[in-house]
Amino acid sequence: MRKYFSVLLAASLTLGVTTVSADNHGSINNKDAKALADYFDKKFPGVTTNDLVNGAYALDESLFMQFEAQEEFPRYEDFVAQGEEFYNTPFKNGKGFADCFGNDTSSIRPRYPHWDKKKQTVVTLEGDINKCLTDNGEKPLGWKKGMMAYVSGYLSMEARGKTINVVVPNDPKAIEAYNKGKSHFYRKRGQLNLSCADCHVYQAGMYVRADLLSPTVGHVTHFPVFRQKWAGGSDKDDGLGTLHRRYGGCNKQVRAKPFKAQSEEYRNLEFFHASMSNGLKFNGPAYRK
Amino acid sequence: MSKTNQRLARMLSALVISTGLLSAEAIAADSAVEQGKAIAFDRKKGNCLGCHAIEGGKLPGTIGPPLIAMKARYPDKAKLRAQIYDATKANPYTPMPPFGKHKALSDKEIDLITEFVHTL
Amino acid sequence: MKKLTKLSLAITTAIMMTSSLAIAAPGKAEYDKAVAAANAALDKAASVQGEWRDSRWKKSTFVKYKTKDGKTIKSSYMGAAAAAAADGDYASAMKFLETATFQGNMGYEQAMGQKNAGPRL
Repeated sequence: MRKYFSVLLAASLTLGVTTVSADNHGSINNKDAKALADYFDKKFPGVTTNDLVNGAYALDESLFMQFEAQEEFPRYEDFVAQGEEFYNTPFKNGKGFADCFGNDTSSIRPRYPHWDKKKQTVVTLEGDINKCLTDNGEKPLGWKKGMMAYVSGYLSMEARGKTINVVVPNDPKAIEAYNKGKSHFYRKRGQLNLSCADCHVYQAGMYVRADLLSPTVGHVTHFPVFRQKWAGGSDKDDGLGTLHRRYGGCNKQVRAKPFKAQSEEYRNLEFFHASMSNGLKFNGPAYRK
Repeated sequence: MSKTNQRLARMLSALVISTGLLSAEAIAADSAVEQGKAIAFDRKKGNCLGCHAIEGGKLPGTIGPPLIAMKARYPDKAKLRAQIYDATKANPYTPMPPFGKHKALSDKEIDLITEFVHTL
Repeated sequence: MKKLTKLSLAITTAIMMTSSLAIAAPGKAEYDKAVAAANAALDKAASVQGEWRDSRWKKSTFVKYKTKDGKTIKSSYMGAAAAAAADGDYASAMKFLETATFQGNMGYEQAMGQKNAGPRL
């Protein structure tokens, strides 16, 4: 019998009770987010919605202690430092990332993902990092790991404690993108016939072999993630990876053909997925198994 | 050899032969169950431990019910096979992969797994 | 009369032999058609975002095929079919293509069945 218990979080995490953003009240994504939050409330009595930023670790006491041990001397700190250095290094043309993103590094991550009215598409943080590079004549970074994950990790670290608020504007194209992401999340796919929801909604809190399934609410708050599995496959103990890297991995695990990182399919998915954590605080990067 | 000894020898060899045949059959039956167990435990095949507790398996998942008392739950072996073949027939929302329908396992492999699971 | 009979016998034998060969083993023409059919089925699945991982994805390592020179390659079903065809082993190639086609059809059916999937909270 697994025990669920309420966790008092570190200073960077809120002790407040708001689970739905005050702005954007009543919009499509916040209704969906609230429905999920209520669902997990019933499933995990004693675990608050805000606790869920720690994912599976919020659901099991012994797992949480392992997690705390990893977070005491975080293995992602060196890589985040490399990301910070890269972010602060001027481009060949003399400009820098601040010219694209502004000077307040704590307010960059919280702007993503968002609907871009002009481009009529979902824009992600990683997307704009590469846009800034290519607009200034620099080479773009790979989408899934390495420096992209380090820079994204740096900007996530800077935004810790800020509140997630993904806005789905009352624009039919934006709502369509959101619904496409929602559909991806709930559809069974692959030879194994599983949906994201199968594991992360209906079976959240259950074990697949020895892995505890994390709930959807609180999923994106800690990205880019330092994943033990990825670190194990790296000779530099580099476990940092972006959200779209994990999307590909999950699709592959159910024997579905993965989509390309930053493809429209995954950007729409992120649009939906991130907004399911509206009202929660950013706490990335973080360690995960 | 005396006539009695001859008759005894004949009886003994008949006994040995019949016992040998029985053993061969018994071995064949065990072999199917053992083969089924191997496929069930294979992470790239049935991977049943991913969701089900099974005797002899370590660190089982908790998504599905433990596989015990199977003859009581499925007195009809064919119904058990049908569930393994396509669990979505009974429940379209099930997280159990349709091993037969999607050909994740061959018909023969499903036969063998059914033999094994029915003994649990 | 004798010459004609010998000739017609030779022709008949030749026809029977070639036709029996065609029935016994698939050739490149049949293989090419099957590749096109498999890709069509997979394209259909892809059009509704329903393609599976091991049908033809370049990074799949699910299917094993042992080549004539003893190497074991790990690939998708289409990849294994191509390797078998390169070996002239069209029989194996056709089997792999059959699976790839099946997966394309199944992936399409699955995606269409999931059109209205949504939360059941």
